[in-house]
Amino acid sequence: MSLIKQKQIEVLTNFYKQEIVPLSNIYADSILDYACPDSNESYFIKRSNTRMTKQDFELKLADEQQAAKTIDSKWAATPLKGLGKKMLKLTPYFLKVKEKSELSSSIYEMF
Amino acid sequence: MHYYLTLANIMNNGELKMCDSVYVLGISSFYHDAAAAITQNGEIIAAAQEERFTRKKHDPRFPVNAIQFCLEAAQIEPKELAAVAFYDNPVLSLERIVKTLIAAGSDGLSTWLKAAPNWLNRNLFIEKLIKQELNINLPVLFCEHHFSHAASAFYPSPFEEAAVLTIDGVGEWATTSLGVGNGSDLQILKEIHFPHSLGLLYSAFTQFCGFKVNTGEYKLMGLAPYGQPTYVDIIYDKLIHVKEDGSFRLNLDYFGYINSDSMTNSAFAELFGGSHRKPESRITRREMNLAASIQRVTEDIMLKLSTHLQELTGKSNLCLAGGVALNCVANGKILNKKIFDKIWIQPAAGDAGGAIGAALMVSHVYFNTPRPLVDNIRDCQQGSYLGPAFSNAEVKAFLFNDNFPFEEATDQERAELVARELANGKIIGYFVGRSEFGPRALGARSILGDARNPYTQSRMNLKTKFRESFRPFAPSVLLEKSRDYFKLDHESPYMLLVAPVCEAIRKEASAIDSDDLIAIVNQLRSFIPAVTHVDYSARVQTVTSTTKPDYYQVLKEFEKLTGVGVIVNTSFNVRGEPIVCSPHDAYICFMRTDIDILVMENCILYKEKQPQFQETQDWRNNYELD
Repeated sequence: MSLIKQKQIEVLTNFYKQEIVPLSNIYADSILDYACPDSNESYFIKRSNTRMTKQDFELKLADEQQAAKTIDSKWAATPLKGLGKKMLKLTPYFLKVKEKSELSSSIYEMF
Repeated sequence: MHYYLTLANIMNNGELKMCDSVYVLGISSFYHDAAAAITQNGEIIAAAQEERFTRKKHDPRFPVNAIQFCLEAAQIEPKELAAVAFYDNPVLSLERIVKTLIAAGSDGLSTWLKAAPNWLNRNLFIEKLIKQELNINLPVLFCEHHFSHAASAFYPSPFEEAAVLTIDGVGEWATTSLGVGNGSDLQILKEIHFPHSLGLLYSAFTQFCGFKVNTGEYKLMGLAPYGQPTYVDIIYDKLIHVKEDGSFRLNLDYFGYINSDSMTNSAFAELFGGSHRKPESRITRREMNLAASIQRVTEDIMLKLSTHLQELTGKSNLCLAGGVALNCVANGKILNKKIFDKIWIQPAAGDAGGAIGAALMVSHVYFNTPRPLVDNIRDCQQGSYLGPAFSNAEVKAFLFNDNFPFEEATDQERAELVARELANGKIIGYFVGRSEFGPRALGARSILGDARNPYTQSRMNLKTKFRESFRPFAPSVLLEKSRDYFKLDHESPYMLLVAPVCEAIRKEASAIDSDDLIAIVNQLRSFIPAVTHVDYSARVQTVTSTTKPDYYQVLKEFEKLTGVGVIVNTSFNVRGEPIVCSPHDAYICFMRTDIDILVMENCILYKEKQPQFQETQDWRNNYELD
């Protein structure tokens, strides 16, 4: 966090307020499977594609345009529709980022 | 004539031809324990964690040093790689992150500010990064996170077919997966998805008990035997709902990881009688009981998952991976229940092992390289001695260069000397052969001690490792003698199974009505007290002459001298430091600690003969406490 510059904070905050918060206002309670029902027999999710195919290994992420296309195609039928392109427009602000070498001591590294 | 698969062979028609050798470089990075691995025709050539080179424990950064090592070990140039395999699908991970932020709303902004720069610079552009680092245009392929774990567990295992269970904090969406492997075929049948996660539940208790998330989970496991599982009912009533098949749901009302920088929240604290333990403060009865309780729940769930998986697949062998598979106490319970005939656990079960898994998935599934023959006995992990090695000449060059006095010994003399000095109560740094891949030291980068000596545990904990006194040490034992000491009817080459110490060698400890961990630790519980935990258990490493002949010989010589084929084996490092990698790392660790003798290949160094060791600053400041 300390490594991030003021301009970067600004563009990220604007994006968050303009894109994420409005979606949150609609989907906050439903976007993750929060529920704790105990009526089902199982909480397992059965995979329809139980094997990885050759195509599954091949993600098109060579550059910003390709990445935006790949992401938006995946998110097309979801509340995240169109978000990939908007997000990838932020990349010019992050051409140089210092990688952190230490893990958080309070939160599992998952973001 | 030797042919390598060139880039052109693949790029032109998408199919392999003339392929005597298919080299795949596997990479894991950006979350925990970055690592690289290289395979040749589906066989592991080398693997290493980046932390060993950068000296930053659990270093998550892109593993440039580990990649360089792997290429050197395989003796190839990047252009000879068929592909690079990344262990995670960034598109799926990003989707989970964005949806989590949507769930968090305004509270997620700080998480976004921390995560977004890396995603916008690097995580999404791993292909570009890899091509830049290797300076070549080659295929970069992506393997799903839990497929990487599953592949790391199944393909190197000795089994032609097996059920495969992976459990971790989270990878993309999955936190638990049930699968099945058969030959080169690997399937994942069912999953549990984020935010419901056994790994995150365990991490929540780790943090609440005052240990570091991401690194302190094994301390919680070590603390568990000191407590009583008094909170099990509360955990089941309030925190997690578990079905008979082992599937589960967490009650997110008690957790903070969706919308804060903490695993738990105030409701969680209220449930367990107040705020979390402050790190490094005194451990109380509450933390011991919390540790015992979450350990019990974890074991219950892993047993249910294993039972269901066996019924689902009908297989008699089980392969395990994912960070939760490092819970060797739970692994031992699965083994004891005899749900499966045999179990094999990837020694680098956490994210580091994903580098091996991704490389093997791409080899066997993408390139259709046949899986090497397996015999149901020997695995293909090569004892996990997959890391860098230094020849005796290299060690001597290092010692001569700095004028560090040493003696030389033949392999046999070395084994006899180490055994003799251990029997004399000496602590020995042992640096022989290729280093281990994974978190456990297995006799290549180890500190050794006499398991019979009642003072070994406290001395090694407080003066050698500089760590909490409650943590037990692990025994290395001759495989053929393991049943003399431990109730273990199974090989445990990777120290990933906990077994009870045999009753015949136990001593009854007097009851102590106190929370004083040191007093409890210092009680003698067997005639190998240094490796007998408070509940009469031990985290066993069985040693064979085929996998690690030099180390086996040390144990044989020790047995000849003492009649006991067991020694203490702990990782060659101090608290917060990655396991030593090079002769330089080993020498520094030797001089900073209470280690008496350093053995590096065929060179023997005695502490009292070394020049005075001075450092300009306190080395403890170099390592963040783990």
